[in-house]
Amino acid sequence: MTHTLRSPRSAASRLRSPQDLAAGLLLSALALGGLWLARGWEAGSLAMMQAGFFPRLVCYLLLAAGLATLVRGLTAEGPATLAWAWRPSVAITVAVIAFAALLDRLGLVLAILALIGIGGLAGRPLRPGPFTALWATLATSCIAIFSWGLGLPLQIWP
Amino acid sequence: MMDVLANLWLGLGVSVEPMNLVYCFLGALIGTLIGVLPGLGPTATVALLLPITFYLPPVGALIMLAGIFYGAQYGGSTTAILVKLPGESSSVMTCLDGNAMARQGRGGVALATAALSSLFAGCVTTLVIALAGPPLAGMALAFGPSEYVALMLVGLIGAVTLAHGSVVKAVAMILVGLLLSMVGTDVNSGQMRFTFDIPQLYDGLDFVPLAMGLFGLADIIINLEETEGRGIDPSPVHRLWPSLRDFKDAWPAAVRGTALGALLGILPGGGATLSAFSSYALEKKVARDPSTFGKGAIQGVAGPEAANNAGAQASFIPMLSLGIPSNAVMALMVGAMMIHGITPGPQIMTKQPDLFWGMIASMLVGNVMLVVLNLPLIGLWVRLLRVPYAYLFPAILVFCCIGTYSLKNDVFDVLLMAGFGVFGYVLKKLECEPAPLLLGFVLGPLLEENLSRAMLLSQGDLTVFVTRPISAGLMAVAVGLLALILLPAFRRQREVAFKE
Repeated sequence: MTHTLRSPRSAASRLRSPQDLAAGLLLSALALGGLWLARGWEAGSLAMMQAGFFPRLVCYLLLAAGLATLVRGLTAEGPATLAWAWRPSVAITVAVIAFAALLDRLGLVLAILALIGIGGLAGRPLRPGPFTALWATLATSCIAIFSWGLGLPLQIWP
Repeated sequence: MMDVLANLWLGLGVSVEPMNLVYCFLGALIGTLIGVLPGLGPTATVALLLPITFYLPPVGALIMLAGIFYGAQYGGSTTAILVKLPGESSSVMTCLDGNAMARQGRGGVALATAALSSLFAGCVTTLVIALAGPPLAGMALAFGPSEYVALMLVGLIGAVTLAHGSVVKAVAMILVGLLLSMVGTDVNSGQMRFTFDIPQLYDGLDFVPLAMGLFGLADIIINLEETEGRGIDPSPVHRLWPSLRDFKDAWPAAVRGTALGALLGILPGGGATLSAFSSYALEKKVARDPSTFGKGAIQGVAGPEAANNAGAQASFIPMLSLGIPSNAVMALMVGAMMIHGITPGPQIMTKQPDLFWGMIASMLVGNVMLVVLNLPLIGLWVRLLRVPYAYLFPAILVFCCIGTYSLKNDVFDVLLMAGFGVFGYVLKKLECEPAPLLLGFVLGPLLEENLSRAMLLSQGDLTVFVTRPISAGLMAVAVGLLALILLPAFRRQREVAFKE
């Protein structure tokens, strides 16, 4: 998929600007999702706005902006690449989720190990020596700042 | 005038209290320390450091945040000059000539020029804030809901004018921000909105995970993608002090930049970026030899640096006196104030004069401190610039996670941040700017409340926005700004400006 999008554009039949197209789809989807979630909320009138009024107003405007972007994606020339950096995005996200999952169970020191261990895969992983040094430095400074300094009730060890 | 001096005196009294001096110093130091790290702009820096101010008393916290902000701004110009990496759009202009100077071995002179121009601009603008703040706040007391709605529209449209790329997408980002701001329990009806039955969302989305995800995590992913984890090579720094000739060349530019910045920064949606761009254009116009620009003209550093500092600081005026943030950093400041239970707006000046004037006076103190701190430490900052990203980004990651967690001691916020990190990366891929989103998020509740109140008072009559004089004036400004964006000539210039 990305390969065809990246190749030089020649035929007019191809999408003109996949980037705008995708943005338009995302924005419209957000707007429609918002409208669907807000379907049961009372809107009231202009003079007596209820909880549903502002969400609907914003969603309709967002839908308009989304559709405008969509149309431009179909008609106007624009950037073609939609390359997605899987490695950094997945590694960083998984690392943060792992930190969240481990913090209350195994404590700060091990949660940081998981965070920088998995997160490190996003770039060029460090060799074991420097990695351990980084882990030790980060764990100590976090404990010093947040636990001793700010008095946060943090679980440090398992 | 005497009033202003008396007030500033009161403020100085607050800001030179030993603890507040310490907060100011720490803020400026940590702000520079983080701001100098490549790939972290002022917005990300302030977002990252927000949590450490939560445990301070309100005055101290705001003083520290302001210090962090100047430090981050200054750190941003250091990276712009030495490695041609602008942390934020406001230092893009500094890159052009600053980095050219650095490549000629005059990086130290460029850094000193930036520091001294910023100091000058900062001091002058502080006086402007002290003078312009109270009358504006007085005017704001006469504001009804319709005026507030009009004012916020001006601010939001102003933000659109300055976003990169497509105007439609920038508007959409504001709307997404407004949508996110509605998450939680509606104050008037008790209706749960967009909470998905998750108890942690009943009180609304928190600002910190949103800002840290969009600016911290997403930036890490983008930097890793762009540099593939490689480090960058800063230019060496030799001589620091500008020669007499440099000084003569630079000071008129700094004065012009300050004037421009102070003027443009007050406009809602204005601020640092617009000021820096205009100042660079102006310097190029008035220069005897415009061809030196882009090849290391010292005016090209002094002008924009003075302007972006003046503009950044002047944007405190609408934030403090009207409660309307004009850019993403000010939105962060408003968020921080709210967390401390302070609602920014015309009331703080009268109700909490020590806080208001203390913060303004601390701007003076902070600016002086920054220069005193930075000129001797430039060598250290340069070494910091050499830290490989492989060490840097795990550290930022840890700080993001634990900072977000410390807000409520709840890992839910950390998960939320992970989600917004991915969302921020998607937005970046689609060339949608996250800054307008943050502004919309902060202004959302205020906008909804004032809109519904204005409509209630006028019994649903929309003409109220154009029949009341102040609101009509603001609406005219909003329409004017919109027309400006749509004008082809301005559009072209805007594209050129962002491309450079």
